[in-house]
Amino acid sequence: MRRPVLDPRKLGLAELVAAAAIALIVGGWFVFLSPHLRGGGPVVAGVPDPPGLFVAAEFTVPAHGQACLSAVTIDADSDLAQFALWQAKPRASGGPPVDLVLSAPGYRAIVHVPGGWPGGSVTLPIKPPAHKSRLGMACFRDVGSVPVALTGTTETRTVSRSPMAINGQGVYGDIALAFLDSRKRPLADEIATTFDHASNLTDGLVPPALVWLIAIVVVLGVPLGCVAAFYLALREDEQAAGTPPSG
Amino acid sequence: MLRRSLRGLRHAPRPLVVILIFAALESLAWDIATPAFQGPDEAAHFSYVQHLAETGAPPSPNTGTAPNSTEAQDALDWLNLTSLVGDLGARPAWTAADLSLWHRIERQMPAGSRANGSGPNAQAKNPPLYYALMAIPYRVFVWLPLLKRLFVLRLISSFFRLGTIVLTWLLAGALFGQVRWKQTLAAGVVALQPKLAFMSGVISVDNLLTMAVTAFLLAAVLLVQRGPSRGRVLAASGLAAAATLTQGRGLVTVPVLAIALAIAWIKHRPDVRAMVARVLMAAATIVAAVLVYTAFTRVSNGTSAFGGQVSQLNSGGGFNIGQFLSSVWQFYFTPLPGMQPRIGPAYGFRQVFIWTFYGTFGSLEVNFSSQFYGALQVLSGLGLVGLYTACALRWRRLWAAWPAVTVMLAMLVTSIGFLHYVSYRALLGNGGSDPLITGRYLLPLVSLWALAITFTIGSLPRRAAVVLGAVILVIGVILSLDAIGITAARFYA
Repeated sequence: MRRPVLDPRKLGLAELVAAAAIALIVGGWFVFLSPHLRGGGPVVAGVPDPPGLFVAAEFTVPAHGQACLSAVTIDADSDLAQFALWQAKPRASGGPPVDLVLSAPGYRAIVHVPGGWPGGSVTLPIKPPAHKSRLGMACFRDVGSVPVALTGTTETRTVSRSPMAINGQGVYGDIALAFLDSRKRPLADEIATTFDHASNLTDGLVPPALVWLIAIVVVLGVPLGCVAAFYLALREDEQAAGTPPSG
Repeated sequence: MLRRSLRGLRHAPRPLVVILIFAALESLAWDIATPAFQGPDEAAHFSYVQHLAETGAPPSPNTGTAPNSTEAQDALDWLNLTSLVGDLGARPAWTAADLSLWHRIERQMPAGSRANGSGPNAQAKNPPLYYALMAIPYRVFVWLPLLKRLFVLRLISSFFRLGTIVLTWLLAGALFGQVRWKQTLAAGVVALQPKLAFMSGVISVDNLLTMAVTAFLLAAVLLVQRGPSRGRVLAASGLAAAATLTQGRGLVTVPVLAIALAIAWIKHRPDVRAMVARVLMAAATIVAAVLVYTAFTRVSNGTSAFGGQVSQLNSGGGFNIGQFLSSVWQFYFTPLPGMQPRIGPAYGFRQVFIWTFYGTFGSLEVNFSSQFYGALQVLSGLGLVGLYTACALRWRRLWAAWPAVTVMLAMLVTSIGFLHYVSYRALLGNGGSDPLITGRYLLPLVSLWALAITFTIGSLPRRAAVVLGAVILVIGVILSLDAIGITAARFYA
């Protein structure tokens, strides 16, 4: 017995258009959307204090002094800390040594920036908290003999929740600090982390499993729904016109 | 009642039902992809809803103790949602530790923390219809914690977009007949318009305004097509009043209503006395709406009615017709010899009709790639050439349908003219710093855009038209999914 063979010549306009639309969507997916899915450099693990949007502020920490940000979330996925520092008084020998001390209940990590740097953004490895993210403090300590300037913001719209103090004195604004995750992880892991974040911002109303389900349904359902609607419309028109559906 | 609704749903056209299902899915995805208060002015829109629902009075545009309630402001501060607005370098406080901290803060909030956002609120000059409607689900879900309540309110607000899709389907039916593929194409492109889908995922008055203007357009088209019966006049004027009571930009429906009534009279020649009565009825509906709103505003917060774009109508001195026309010309084209440079920043059709109409999500900081915008500009240009060609080739058909065509043209010209005028006025008033208008303000015309696409495509031979229609829907799918993806990545990755 011969197996039925799909003959494009016997397909109606509706079927042909639906098949072509699905092919176009799949092709479009690869051309336009897949670049977003390719992994690149480190991903953001958390931004306790963003930089200014329009104007960068500089906070000067005196020699042997410290600037501390409290209510900082140190993400368990962080393995790099990023901030910018400058010489408060430019010297040929470069900037002073600076420590970034991260602390939270049951957690402490120190990142050391050796002296002699020219100034700019630095990204340094940190030891992340084990298992789960913690709320704690981030202190920038000038362990040299000259002051250091750290970049941040005093714009009302970009100042975050972390109160800052320099040598114990409250100061308006924040030193910009971000945590990055440089580990190579499977795409599914990265998407899962993204969906965890999204779920938390719904206060758990949409749990991560449901975010996954909705994402899958949307990615498949919107294209298929669109094709199905157009296909059904063409079939209804053909039926209304009295033409056979396959002809 | 429920049985009748279910029966009605069973009789609903299947393509439309499918479109509504995937459009609802998109809105749900947008609700998740956009963290709280990250829509355009979303905190202010939410605060209006909250204050109205909690106290029965709108917030003040000029005075008050705080623009947001303690509850909303604490969420904005403690979840880093204020610093997130518009800043691509920022991320929300997204960990479980942040959520636990937020729960502690929420539990410690004193009584009255939801009701003290009395102003000044920049959106408080908006009329109250959207906020009053949203206050109902707010009261129903007031027992939910803030983030959950906001999520649910956004979902409810997204129903206005579904309404816009249904109305576009009906408009296409009224204009093109019951040709299902044309109705599906028109409703489909509205469903897949990425900016409209994004806006449906946030609290914004634009959602209701778009639906109200689309409903008005349908009522006006039916009015001129079928004649000025009392019901049709009431429907059109009632919907114009609703648009007026939703946002100041809804006022553009009033001159279109007048034009529709004039056309209905010319085309159907009803009894003069009856027509006068109906015109008076329409005028009374609009006047009553404006009076009620004005009185409501005076009593509730002691300010004048309408704000935002409408307040620009008479603001800023030094109006110069030549400068205005030159400004409009340079919005679209390079300046002619001898023209003074346009006042304000380099801001033209590309920014309004392409970038911020199709794209720019979040608080304008999330964008498609420049290649996407370039391709959209080319496609829109081709579409315009196609529309012009279709109009030239099918002018007899358009002539035969002149009443509906005139109503739609009036809607288009009035809306675009209004936006140009207020933009020019705003630039005069603010020293050229802010042109005020953005592509989001074109969303009330989204059905016209969809109908123009459908008319242009429908002018081709059927096979080619159907194939091209499918290609347009495919482009819409790709844009829609890409928009949700880049927004989720911007906020959560």
